[in-house]
Amino acid sequence: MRRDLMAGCLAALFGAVTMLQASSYRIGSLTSIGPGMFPFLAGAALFICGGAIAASYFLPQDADSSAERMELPDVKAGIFIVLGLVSFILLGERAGLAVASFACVFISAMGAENITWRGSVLLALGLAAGSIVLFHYALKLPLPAFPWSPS
Amino acid sequence: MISVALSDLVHGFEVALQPHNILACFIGVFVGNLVGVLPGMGVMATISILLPLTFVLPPVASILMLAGIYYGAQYGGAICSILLNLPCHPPHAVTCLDGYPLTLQGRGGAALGITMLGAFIGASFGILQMIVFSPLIVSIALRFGPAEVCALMVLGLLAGSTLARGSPLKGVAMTLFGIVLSCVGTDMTDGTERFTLGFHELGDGIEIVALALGFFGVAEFLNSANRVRKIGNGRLRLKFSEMRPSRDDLKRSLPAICRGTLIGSLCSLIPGTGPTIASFISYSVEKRVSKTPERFGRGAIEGVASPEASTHSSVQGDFIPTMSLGIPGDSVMALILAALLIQGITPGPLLISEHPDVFWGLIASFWVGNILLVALNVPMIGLWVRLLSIPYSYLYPSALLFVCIGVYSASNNMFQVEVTLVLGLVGLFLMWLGFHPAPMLLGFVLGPRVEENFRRAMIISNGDLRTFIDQPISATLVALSVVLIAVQIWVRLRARRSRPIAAATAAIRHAESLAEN
Repeated sequence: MRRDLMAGCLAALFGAVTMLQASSYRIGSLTSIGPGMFPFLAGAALFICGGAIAASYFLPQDADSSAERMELPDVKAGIFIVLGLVSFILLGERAGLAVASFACVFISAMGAENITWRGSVLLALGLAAGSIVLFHYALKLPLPAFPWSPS
Repeated sequence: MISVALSDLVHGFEVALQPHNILACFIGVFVGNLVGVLPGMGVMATISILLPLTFVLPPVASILMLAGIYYGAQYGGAICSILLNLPCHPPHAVTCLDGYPLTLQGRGGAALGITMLGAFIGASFGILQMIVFSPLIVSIALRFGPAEVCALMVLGLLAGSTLARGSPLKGVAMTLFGIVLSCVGTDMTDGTERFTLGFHELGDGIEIVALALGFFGVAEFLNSANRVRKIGNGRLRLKFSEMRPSRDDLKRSLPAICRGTLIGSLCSLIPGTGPTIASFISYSVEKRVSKTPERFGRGAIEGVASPEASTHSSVQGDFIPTMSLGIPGDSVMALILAALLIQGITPGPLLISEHPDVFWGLIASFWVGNILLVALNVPMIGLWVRLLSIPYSYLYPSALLFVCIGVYSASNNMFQVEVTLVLGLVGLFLMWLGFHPAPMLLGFVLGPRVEENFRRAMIISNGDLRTFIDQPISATLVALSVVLIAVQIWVRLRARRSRPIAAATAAIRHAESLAEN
């Protein structure tokens, strides 16, 4: 599979970058190990391992190795999931838990098939109310509850 | 020794039967069962979301609860497989093969009844196994020095990454990736900030909840949103009275349950071969010993009984290496281990003697939990079945909110939510490249402990690497690691030539791809 080649090269590259970065910390010697040694060794192992994965691309392939095919994710749903997370990150501390919860659920539900506008508004409202009761009042999560609450 | 174990077990029941511990156990198994029933929801994500909430609980209650989610989900997963032909939880994928035909014949209730019976027998055996084996393992492990611990962890990581699903090489690569991620943050001995990329928030390292929820939560939602198959053609009504299996069913199932239980308990002792592999092996064994193998795939009750018993005995047995050696066999156990560490308890050979209430309380709570689960499932089966029809479009936005709140409450810091988002995107990309995320979490949890023990071993031996092969125990462990790698290479080269092995791996891969879709 061509993907194996790419996977192997990326793993090897990540290993190499790790080794490079680790060598900027003190490596030390076996008698006095520095903070750089262990990540350096891990990076080296990853480099070798990635090389082996990439090399396996050139070996004769089993007939069934394409069995692990993967369906591509749904782009629209994916974008809205990311936007939902971003909205929680941006709103959480500024506008409070209620608004952030509503935004996170409502926006991420916008990408979903077979959910109506009414359905997603109700879901988001219900979960926002639930998270205020459970996380703000019961479990004392240190986020402001509403936009007008003192933070 | 048996009498000591018995009196300890009695102590364990005293712990587990305290009202707040029963409550914790009940919440755990209830949430687990719920998650198991809901298609598309993962055990890993659920445990990670609840992990920060358990910081406020005492250690015993928090472990009982998190463990309950794990084995509770196995009960729910079977319902999903048998009634809907939906293998949303990998260990139960194989149950679909005969469970769903039984449902089509109108005998889904009986199949579920047998499942509950097999589950309880399997789990009980797994618990007994834990009671017997853990002290034995501990008595050996107490003699381990840093070199032995280090060698054992490397062996555990190798086994965990190469025996699990997918390509062994990619498994090892993911483990190493996890180890590198675990190095992020301030070094323990001299305070160097490693791999923080200039973010001072990363000084405390990556929050394990952020990592687990990035890979098993966000990446999973991105991957399966609008891709989970639509539910419908199953029979979504079931009554309690239908669950009683006939005499013939029982006669066929009991030997199958016993075989499945034994296979499951054997599998649990080998790190990396968790419940999924156990259930696949026991299904093929069952088909082989049967006098009428042609019935399999068309609704043979043995094909449901044996894999389910096997799953449950393996799930309970999974706790043995985690609790007695401090070495988790799979990603769920890695999270349980992390939960113990957060509570200030170091899992390992000293756990049983230093924290007997945690160890024996957990074992006793397994029984309490399994009884609660049977009580939850048998009379309330109708309710669980109705939950199956909640569409994924409502589930994943809700789960996403819990992910955000879970990560935030673990650190009280929005930065870790950002880390989760980034790791989710990275995780999705890695999955697309064919890397499975489970070994990464093993590497992440064990990485710092491997480093610490390696450093200590080197200090003691004055920088002499021969310390790993001078002593018989660590030499054996190193030899086992070498054998493990050699066998993997041999099987791989061999698989190309010999037919039966190739056919078997092809069958397992096929079943796995079923489980993934």
